[in-house]
Amino acid sequence: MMHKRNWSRRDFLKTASAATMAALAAGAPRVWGGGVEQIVNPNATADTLIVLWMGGGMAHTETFDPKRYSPFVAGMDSNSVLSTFPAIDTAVDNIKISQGFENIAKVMDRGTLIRSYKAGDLGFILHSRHQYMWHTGYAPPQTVAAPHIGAWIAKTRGPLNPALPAFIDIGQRLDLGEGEELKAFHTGGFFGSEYGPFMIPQPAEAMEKVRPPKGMSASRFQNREKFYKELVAGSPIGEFGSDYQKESLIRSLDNAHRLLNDPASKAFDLSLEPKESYDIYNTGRFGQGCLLAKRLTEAGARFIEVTTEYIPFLNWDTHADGHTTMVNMKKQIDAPIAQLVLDLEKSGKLDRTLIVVASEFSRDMMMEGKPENAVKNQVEVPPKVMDMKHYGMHRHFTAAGSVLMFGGGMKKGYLYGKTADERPCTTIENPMTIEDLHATIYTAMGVSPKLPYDVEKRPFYATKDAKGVARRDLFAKSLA
Amino acid sequence: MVTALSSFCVLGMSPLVQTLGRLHVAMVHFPIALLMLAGVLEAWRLARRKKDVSPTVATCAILGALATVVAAIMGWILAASGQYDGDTLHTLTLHRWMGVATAGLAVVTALMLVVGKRKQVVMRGFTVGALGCAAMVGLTGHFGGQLTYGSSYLTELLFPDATDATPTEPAATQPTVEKASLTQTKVDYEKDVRPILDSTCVECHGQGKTRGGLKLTTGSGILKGGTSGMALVAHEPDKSTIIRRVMGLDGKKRMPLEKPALTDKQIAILRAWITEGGPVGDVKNEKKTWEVRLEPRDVKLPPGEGNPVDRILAGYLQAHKVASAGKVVEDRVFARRAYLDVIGMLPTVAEQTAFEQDASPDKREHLVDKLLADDRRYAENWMTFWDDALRNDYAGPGYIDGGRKAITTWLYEALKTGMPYDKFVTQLVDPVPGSEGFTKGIEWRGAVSASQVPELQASQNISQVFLGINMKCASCHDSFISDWKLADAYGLAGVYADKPMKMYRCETDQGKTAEVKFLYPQLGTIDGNAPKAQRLAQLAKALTCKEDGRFARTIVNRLWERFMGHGIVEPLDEMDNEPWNSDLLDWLSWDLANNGYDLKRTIKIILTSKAYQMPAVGMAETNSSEFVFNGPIVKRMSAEEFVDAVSELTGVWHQSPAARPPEDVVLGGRWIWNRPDALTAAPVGTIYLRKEFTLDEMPTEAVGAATCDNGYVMYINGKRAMAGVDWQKPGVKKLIKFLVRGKNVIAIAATNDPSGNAAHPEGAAALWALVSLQMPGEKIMEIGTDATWMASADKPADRGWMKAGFDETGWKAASDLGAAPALYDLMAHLAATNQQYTLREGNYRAVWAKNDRLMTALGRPTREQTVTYRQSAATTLQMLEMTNGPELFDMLKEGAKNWTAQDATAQDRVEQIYQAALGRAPTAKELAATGDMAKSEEGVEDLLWAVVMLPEFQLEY
Repeated sequence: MMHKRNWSRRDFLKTASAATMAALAAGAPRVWGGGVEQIVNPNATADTLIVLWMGGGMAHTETFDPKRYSPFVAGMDSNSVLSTFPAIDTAVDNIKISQGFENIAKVMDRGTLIRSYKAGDLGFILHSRHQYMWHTGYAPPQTVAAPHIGAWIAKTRGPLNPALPAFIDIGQRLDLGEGEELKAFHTGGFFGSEYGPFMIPQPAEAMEKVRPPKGMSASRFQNREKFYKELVAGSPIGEFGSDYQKESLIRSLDNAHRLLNDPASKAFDLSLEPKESYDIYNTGRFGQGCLLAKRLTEAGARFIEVTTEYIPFLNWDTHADGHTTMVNMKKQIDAPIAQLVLDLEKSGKLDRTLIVVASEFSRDMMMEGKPENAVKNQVEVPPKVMDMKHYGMHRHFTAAGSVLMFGGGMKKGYLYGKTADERPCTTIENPMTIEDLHATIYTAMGVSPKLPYDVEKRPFYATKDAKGVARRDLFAKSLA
Repeated sequence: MVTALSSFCVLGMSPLVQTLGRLHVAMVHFPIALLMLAGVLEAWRLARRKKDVSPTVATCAILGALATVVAAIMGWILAASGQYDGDTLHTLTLHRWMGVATAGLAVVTALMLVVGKRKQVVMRGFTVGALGCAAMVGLTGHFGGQLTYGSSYLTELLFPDATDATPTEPAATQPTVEKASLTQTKVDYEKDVRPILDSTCVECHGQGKTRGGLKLTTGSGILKGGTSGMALVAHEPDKSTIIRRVMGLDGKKRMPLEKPALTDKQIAILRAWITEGGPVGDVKNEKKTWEVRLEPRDVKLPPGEGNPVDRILAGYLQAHKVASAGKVVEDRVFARRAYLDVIGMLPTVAEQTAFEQDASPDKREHLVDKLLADDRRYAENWMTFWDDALRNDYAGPGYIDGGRKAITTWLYEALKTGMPYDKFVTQLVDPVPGSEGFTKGIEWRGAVSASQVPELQASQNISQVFLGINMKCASCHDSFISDWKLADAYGLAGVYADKPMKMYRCETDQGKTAEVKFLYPQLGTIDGNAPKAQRLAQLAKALTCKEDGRFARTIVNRLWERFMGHGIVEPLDEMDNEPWNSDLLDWLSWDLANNGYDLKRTIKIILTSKAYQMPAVGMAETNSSEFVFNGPIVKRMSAEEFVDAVSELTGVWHQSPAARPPEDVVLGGRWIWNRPDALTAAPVGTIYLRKEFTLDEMPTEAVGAATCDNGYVMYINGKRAMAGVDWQKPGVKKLIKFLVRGKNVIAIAATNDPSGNAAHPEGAAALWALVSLQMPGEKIMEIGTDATWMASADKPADRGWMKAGFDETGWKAASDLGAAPALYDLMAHLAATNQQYTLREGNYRAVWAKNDRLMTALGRPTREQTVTYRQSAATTLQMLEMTNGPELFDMLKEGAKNWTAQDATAQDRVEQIYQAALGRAPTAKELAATGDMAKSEEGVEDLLWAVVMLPEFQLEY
């Protein structure tokens, strides 16, 4: 309630974490104390969150919300094409998904499928801007640096296993197209760098992030640290006594070394995975990322995001050859996602791990934006599909989208939300905004959607204007 | 019983017992009801002269006695766990002993009934007892009520004057009690209290509205109160209207009206705040609440000699008994501080030695002068500061669609030339070519929310950076935390709008357009109907005028914080807050404004003060309101300072910067002609110039640039390579295909023919050419026109002169006419033609490089938002980056190579590294720890890592 300043300074420095000390510094954010309502974080139904990110705009009618199938025929009317794949049965009677997801179909009885995600209205489409909004809940530009959802969870819940970074981001390189925009939200925002992402762009090389620099032997590395400690001990600066800057430096370095030497760091090493398991996951970088997510979850990670990687015009960002690209994308994600669910179920982690498969928006062949708010087209679509190049969903559709969830206290084999069966296949039941989707995820993770942090004396909420409301229907047990 | 309970209290009570105590307030209603009823019925029996005590009375009396005892015990517990002082304590004592007495009397009365049945005397005693009990319980209850609801609760509706009269006395009469209650916990007004008032009260009391005449947004407003008297009584939460109203006491409607009640926690904070004494703390010193001042103030310096800062602070340091006052750090520490603070770099060993050996008494002042005169390094250091504040960067969101513009070159030149601060800000808000980027803002592709359009971004950034005003809230709605209104944010934004701005409140169209105005209309008016250029000029004038004391205070405060680690006002962006020494702030600000807004002057005053030279102290664990200056705070190197310091130590610098200072792009080559008087007396006609050179290996790339007054044709190895006829538009061309391994020749036919160019004076002629060769291994070779070229005015007989091995008999060396062409024309041309070719190599400081992983980890921000503080605490992720990240590792690896390339013993090397990194020799202990590791390259690499990771290296003591 109030600052207690009666600690002995030495005791404090001995016990406080670097983060606590960072919080002492001017301007460090703390929970805002001014609200009329007392904010109590809900009881978590999950301890780990895994976001599987389909960067680039995953078309709902081609994936988890299939519509009437139109096989390719040269000269077909573009406007007639809704799905370029047939639908397949899943383990749940009333849920059908798109061909190519045979493995996910088998585990659908563990999942909750939301078919009514509506992205924000941000005008002329820029993927990275919608991704920023999905990941922070706020559309840029903002007057303060909005934290990533991973940072919110890292800040509020802290690490699960202290030997692992609380916020791990797998698979996204930041030096490609729109890299600067991606950097803008791959941060801890106003929480500071302590809560920022631990970036692993190449899952196969994850180990390099947690071991001595290339070319340095383990023994040399250990000697270097030992030598450093001798120098610190021998430095006359010791006379100046302890101060928080110095202590935070030494302590943080200790933490870094601890992380590098901890047995938990083995979780980063994909080469330790048995071959048969590795092979199931190894559909490419995304599959390897899922395997890494599995290992890290089992080792006690708090937040992990694995992305198919957003690269303009590649992967899900199909401005042409949509159908052909989809075949490959499905191959990349189908087996790893299903296996991740099964493996976590087997290790008993699924109940307390929430897996969320999502994308910034969907795609459609004809519609750019929303029926009620169309925006400038970015792709020319001929009235008739003459070759495969034009067979697919090439425009950016923001009025519907599928989000798939597994574990973490969500219902099993549950379908939520509905889209129209004809173009535009827009949301017609239970529309889900980013605020409510986040509220649902945050609630599962034990973070109140109304949780405010004090930024420049203003409250900044976990969901925009504290307006997000968790969809209780999605939870297996009724919320308290 | 009493003793037992007391000792119980000393031991400390369990929560269960405490809860029992709290039940007292509920429990007391039983004895009150029962004893009263017994008394009334007994009186009724007396009146009717009935003989027998009714069974109801008997039951009431017996149960009442039991209930009274229980209530008394609970009451005792409650009293022990609560805090009471002054009048309340007195009331409590009365209440306690009357309660005990009532209990005693009730028990005796009940016993009389049981024991003395049918005995007349005893029964009379019972009657008296029952009546007495009723009276006693009523009186006890009254005092109990006073404890819970306050003493005026019963009377205030009938005698309102009495209520208003009560508050004035206690604060003055109870100094000792107040002191005692302050020691326990501290409430921070800004952090704890203000948010509560802001979120629950000020909507009606202060923010636009002042219902009931009450304004809760300022300390004076709170003290002044409203139409129904003072809002609070210092140290007396129970007597404070604000508490009573939020609790719904006094029979009036609970505040806030028609909103959820304040939580217990919030009320407790408000109570504690009032208990501590008042709006921003200290009422007992009779200190006036801080009133923010706009106009400058001419502070008279205290008598005496020496640095003005020290003269102003002398009294302060004495009053606060600052132990280290008057002490100054040793030369080594001072030099390190001054170098880092002025130019952002560590002193080299030579620089430091020279300073330490300097015997002159005013050498510290000389050092500061010298550093301030180091224009380039000064500018490079302060660019980081301004890049953060002005959101300037080489990359970032917005650039992708042209929604952003860099101001790097303008900023560097402004800092390097020491542009006066008022002019500097004028050029930022009323842009000149190169400085538009600041007010252009950052636009992402697509639609933008109403509160973040570029005009409002400009409004927010100008307010924050130059005036320490937070206009972010007011860009969306009238601010809850200050007096700034939506209309103020739009008033300033409108200056930048091309047409009148529609006002939106929280994204909703308000159906009106913004009236253009400056935040402080008294400083100058802006004509909303005037053309934009005029409005910008009016804004710049109002913002930077001398009457705007806030303008100077804001920057002076920022400078002070940079050097001392804590502003005179904190936070730096909230200049409404009270400075810890307003004389200091106002004097420095006045001095700045009245001496040409020369920031270097202010920097010098601060850096040459004894205050700056005091020993450093650790970061304070105190609230800003409790801050006491007792020396500069230990600072951590910024990302850029650290990287530069490692570069200095290792000799490894950024080689391909994102931008470079304009003077570095001054090209090789000179203006030449065949006669020294060519700038005034060159005859019309064509001359011939040639230069032979040898390439031992082929370059990977070659770029030529040339211009001639008035025209030229360049041949390489006999082939026509490039030509131009407009001397103001230098040609640029890739030339690799003309070059061969071995001997090469550049031959140029240059013509002076002023007939086609009226703008240029007759008789002037000059040629400039430069061929820049990118050699394998990142080396650059330049062939530029200079006096080594050979020239002839005679037309050659054949094409032989264009080829290698030509006999130059009769040719003369060319005349050097001056330096290469003006930079900007060429740069503009390079940019226009998309020639990104790097013409020169060089060592660049981190500020010129794009943000990278290492600097990001060390806190260099992405500059989407204005940044006026950087996080300085180390973090685990940061240390991970420094422990195994590639960037630092590669620098140190290269650095180790550089160190071991020089022949030295292991011990010498350690000593040199310590001198270079820390400015001192290693101690015997440190030397022993290094052993002979400095013999090998790997060992030196590890030594360098350990040294740059030392707190002593990364911190500024």
